[in-house]
Amino acid sequence: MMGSPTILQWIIGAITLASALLVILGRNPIVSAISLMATMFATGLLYFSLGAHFIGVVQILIYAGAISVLIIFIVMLLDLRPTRVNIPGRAPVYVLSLVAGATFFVAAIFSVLPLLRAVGIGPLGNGQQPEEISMQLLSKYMIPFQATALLLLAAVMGVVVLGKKNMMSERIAKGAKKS
Amino acid sequence: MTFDIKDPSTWINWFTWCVIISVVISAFLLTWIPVMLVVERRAAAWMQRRSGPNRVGPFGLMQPMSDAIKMIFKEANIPRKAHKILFVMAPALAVLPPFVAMIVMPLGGSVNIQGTEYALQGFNVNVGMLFFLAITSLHVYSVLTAGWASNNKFSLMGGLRASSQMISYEIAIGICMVALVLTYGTLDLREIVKLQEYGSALPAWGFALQPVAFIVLWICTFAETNRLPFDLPEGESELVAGYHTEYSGMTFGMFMLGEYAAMVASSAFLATLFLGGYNIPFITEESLRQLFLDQGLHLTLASLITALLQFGCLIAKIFFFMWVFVWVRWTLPRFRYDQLMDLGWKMLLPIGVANVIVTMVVTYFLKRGG
Repeated sequence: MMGSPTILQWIIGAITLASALLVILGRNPIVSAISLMATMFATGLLYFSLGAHFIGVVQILIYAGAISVLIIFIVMLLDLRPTRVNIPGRAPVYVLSLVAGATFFVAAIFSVLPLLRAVGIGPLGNGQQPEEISMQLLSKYMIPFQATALLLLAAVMGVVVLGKKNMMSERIAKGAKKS
Repeated sequence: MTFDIKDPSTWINWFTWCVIISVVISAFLLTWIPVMLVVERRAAAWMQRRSGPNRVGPFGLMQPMSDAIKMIFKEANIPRKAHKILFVMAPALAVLPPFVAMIVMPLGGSVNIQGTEYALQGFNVNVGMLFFLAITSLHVYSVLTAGWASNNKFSLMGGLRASSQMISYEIAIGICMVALVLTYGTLDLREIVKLQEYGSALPAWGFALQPVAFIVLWICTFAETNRLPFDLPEGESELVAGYHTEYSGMTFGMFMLGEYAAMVASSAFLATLFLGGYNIPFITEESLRQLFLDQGLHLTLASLITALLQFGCLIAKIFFFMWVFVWVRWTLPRFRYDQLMDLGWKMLLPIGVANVIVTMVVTYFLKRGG
């Protein structure tokens, strides 16, 4: 299925890129976080324009609706002020980092282009229906799916341990004093 | 309205369709707001044994007009140290999500025009239930950005409260959705409404199939729309006016508009999931249309009248939920913040999970038996 992007997709793509650039170029952390949300939202719209409604909705629900809120929440709690980041180093460091970044970018584009040529851009088929996705997820990809759940559980436990660390050591110290 | 993304000649069709949908949906939602303003203020007065606004027009019915005129002509002040772009953007973000979310709501049956059935629905997404949830979850950004951009301690506290509250209750909503999907077997809102259609005496409506999910989701709706008893983000006794302390004139009006629009959208969502959507009790769409056809009406006219009657039925159901919003607001006191978190995490979430497990077992044995 070959096809070229429509005007709508060009517009959404431009919004995605612009907001993504604002994330890294903006000096204000809150503005960066909000434009990150806009990037996620626009990506969801791109999925929508390709006919993958389920993926688009999940993208908006999880990334734009939940994760970005948490990021903004944390930035607000830390009360970060607008800053200009000073990267230590001199001209060679900048040049090297620019070259490295550009190389990565070009390599990424070249690795994606053949796939894009083969598949093209156009409405996706029935493989994007929620039933299909859940079938795949619960049969073919069952083990990675369960492993992800385990990983998330481990992360949650790690947060609890880190958060309760001081409280627990205090309690242990108290217990030692009493006995 | 055929639309092929590759054929530019159909784009104008598509564009016209989009404009029509936006205008109709906006008109529908915007009509609710002045009505609800009067109902709320008069009902509040009635419950508190005072007169309420009764000077403008008969029974104070024109009060929203004078309120709107006042808000438009008042100065919309922007504090000097506020972040100007985000400060102006926040009210717009408050209004936008409910309007977008209403697009997937089925508003009535279908109208038959020259052999083609046109559904009274803006846009039929096969994951409508999730779409609604995803778009309404963006509502939190208006509160957050308003709270932060005002550069005011009280506003920031309100914004932070709102974000943690909304995220906590969204989890309970998600759990309820799982139970609902297990029951209906689809995420398509139109399909869900069709499944609740019945002609016999026993209700096939969602609240009978999923009573626990209905109650939990209903409670969460109050939290999601920041209505009392969950309106801690703007708790007057603690935070002046919370996240909209610094807003005045129409920028404040936009927040009010967004709140009422979100209430209407949530009510429509609840009605669609649990009260049979646009279905009229005890009669199916087919038999109702046949009733009008038997009177000698043309098919288009018969289907149009049927669809409009169903639309009216949906409006009645929305009004029921809106009335409960008002009723609860003037009956229950505001929660303390830890009570609110306890309710969300220690009550609603476990109940929701238990409900999902019960639903899973029941669905499994029903599918196996039948």
